[in-house]
Amino acid sequence: MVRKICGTVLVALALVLAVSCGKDAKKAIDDAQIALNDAKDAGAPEFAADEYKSAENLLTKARDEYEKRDYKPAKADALSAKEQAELAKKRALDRKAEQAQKPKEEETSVAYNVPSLGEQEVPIEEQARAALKDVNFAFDSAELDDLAKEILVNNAKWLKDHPELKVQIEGHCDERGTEEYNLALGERRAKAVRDYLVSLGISPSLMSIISYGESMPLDPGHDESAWTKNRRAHFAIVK
Amino acid sequence: MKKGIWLGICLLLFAGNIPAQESGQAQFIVISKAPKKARVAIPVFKVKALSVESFALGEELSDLLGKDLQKSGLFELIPRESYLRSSQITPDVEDWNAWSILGAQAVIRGEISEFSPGQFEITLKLYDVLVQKAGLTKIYKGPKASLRRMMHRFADESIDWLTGKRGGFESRIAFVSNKTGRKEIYFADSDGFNSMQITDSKKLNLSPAFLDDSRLYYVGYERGNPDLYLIDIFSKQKTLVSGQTGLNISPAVGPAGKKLAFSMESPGNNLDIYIANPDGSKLQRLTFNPANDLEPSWSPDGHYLAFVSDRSGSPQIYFIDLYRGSEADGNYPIRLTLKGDYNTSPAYSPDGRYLAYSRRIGGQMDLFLIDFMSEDKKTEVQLTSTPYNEEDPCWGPDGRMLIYSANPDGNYDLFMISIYSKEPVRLTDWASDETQPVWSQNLFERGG
Repeated sequence: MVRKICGTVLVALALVLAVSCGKDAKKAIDDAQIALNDAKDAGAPEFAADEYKSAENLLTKARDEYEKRDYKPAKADALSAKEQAELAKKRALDRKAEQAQKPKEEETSVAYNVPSLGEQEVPIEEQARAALKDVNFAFDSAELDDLAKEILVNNAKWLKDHPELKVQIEGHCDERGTEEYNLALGERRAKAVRDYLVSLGISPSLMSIISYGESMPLDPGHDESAWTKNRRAHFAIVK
Repeated sequence: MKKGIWLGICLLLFAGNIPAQESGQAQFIVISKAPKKARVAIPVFKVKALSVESFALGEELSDLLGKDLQKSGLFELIPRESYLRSSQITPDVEDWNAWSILGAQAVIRGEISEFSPGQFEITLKLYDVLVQKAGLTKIYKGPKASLRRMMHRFADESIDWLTGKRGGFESRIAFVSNKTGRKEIYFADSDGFNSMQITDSKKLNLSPAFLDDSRLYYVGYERGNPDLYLIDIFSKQKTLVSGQTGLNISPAVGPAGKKLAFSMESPGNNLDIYIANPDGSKLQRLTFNPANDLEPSWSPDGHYLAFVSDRSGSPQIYFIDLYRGSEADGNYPIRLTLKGDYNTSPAYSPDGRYLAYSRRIGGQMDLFLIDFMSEDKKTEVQLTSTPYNEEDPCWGPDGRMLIYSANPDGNYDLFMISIYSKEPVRLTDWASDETQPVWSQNLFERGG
């Protein structure tokens, strides 16, 4: 009888212990997850990839052990995962800061090289971005209105001055209508622009077209002002 | 047989409420189009577990089963608060009277036991209250990760028991999401859970279409051009199916995965529909028209192909008889949609009875059905009518439900709708846009 009671008590104790161990392990895992999230926010996957990966792996291992109710190793691994995540975060922050300083140094050295001339030469991509304006369209239309044609005449002038450049004309749509139909519509818009530029004397071999449909809006909004901006043909320099 | 029993139940219940001499009318009501929802009670499942966490499974899994049944539009869930006290726990002897009082036609009891850590056995019984015995008994065994799937399977079985045709909840879905900032293809359970990213090109990826139980087609921009790929969902291995410069879009898989239809640019610089073998070989041009033809959908017998064309000036839905050659042979497509100035995304139902599509009304897209079995063979049914967009409908394998994407909160999420109840049910509530869902006609034996 007494033995039976003892046995019961022991089993109960073991149960309580097991449950409490489980709780500790669970908490350690949760903490590690938080540390890992922090590291991720700090840019660890990019700047301290190895450390981050190792933290991730440890956490996965801890989770597996927890699932198998191996609470002790689960807790130990979770704790190491947390340490590793904290390390990843610290290194990521350090390296980020380092990188942020680097371009500044380069900039100063460039400025030092051309001290007297003052104005720097603007890279051709930037010139193109400023010179080649977007063309906008009406809903479900690929027709060029007078404003669009005027813009394209100016774009053509600039392209003629830069015959060494190849451009890609991107056709875009607003979010209304279906993805597939908008892919076709974007293609039609890009073609309309290309064909008009050909009529202005630009060689078709210098231009390629692509449709992105509704997938790359300029303005992520959901109103008419966003849609007007998103129904466009855009010029990109092909390197 | 099952159907027979159910019909009998409906009849008896109805007969109980009206004078006997009018029971002839009851038959008429029973065969009306939209089935009356069956009232079902699903008390919280009983749990015998080895760990504390597992006890929550009783409620979680019974709720999950209830959600599936409710989604189907065929069942009405009796809220647990209204149960009589004798019905709350699993009794040795079921109190049939207590269930009859609540108007329950079916009661589903479940017993979950964790026979070794992380390994479960679930016994599920669907009781027919009228005949007072189990009409369906299933025992499932498996690890914790498979529990949700067991519930989807039992929901499908319950729908089979009620209607003679399985549900489609155990099958999986694929869709496009820009969660990462770029549109990528995802794969998930039919309720949006267990989602898994399939493509990771960090460019645009669009228009998934299942080929079989392990592969799907999609449109990817990784070469800087919208090309058509076939990818293995589990190994992530992909092959280029069509990579002509310009658009290679709108993949649609024919019956039994034997043929592929898609849209590609023809020499005239417009989109036409092409038919090919699943690997892209033996390419044949189907439409010959200077307008854009896209978004093909196969009738289940492979006889017809519905598609969108803007040959009339606006996007409209047409169909073509595939047994009569291409458009160049004088086999001209016939226009199906005559109302509205923007009709897209045709989708034949797996039984061929309906064609679902989306139409723009007042600047917003709504879902519609054409019923080919109606008296005039073309009666239209409006499924949704909201101040926001419903797009890209795709049928579930049972032909009674559609999955689609809609933007009630500005961003697009996935929804399901039963064509009987017409009640939309939300699947995803992510901050990003989830679009172009497709519901596989297959079950997936591989993967988690």
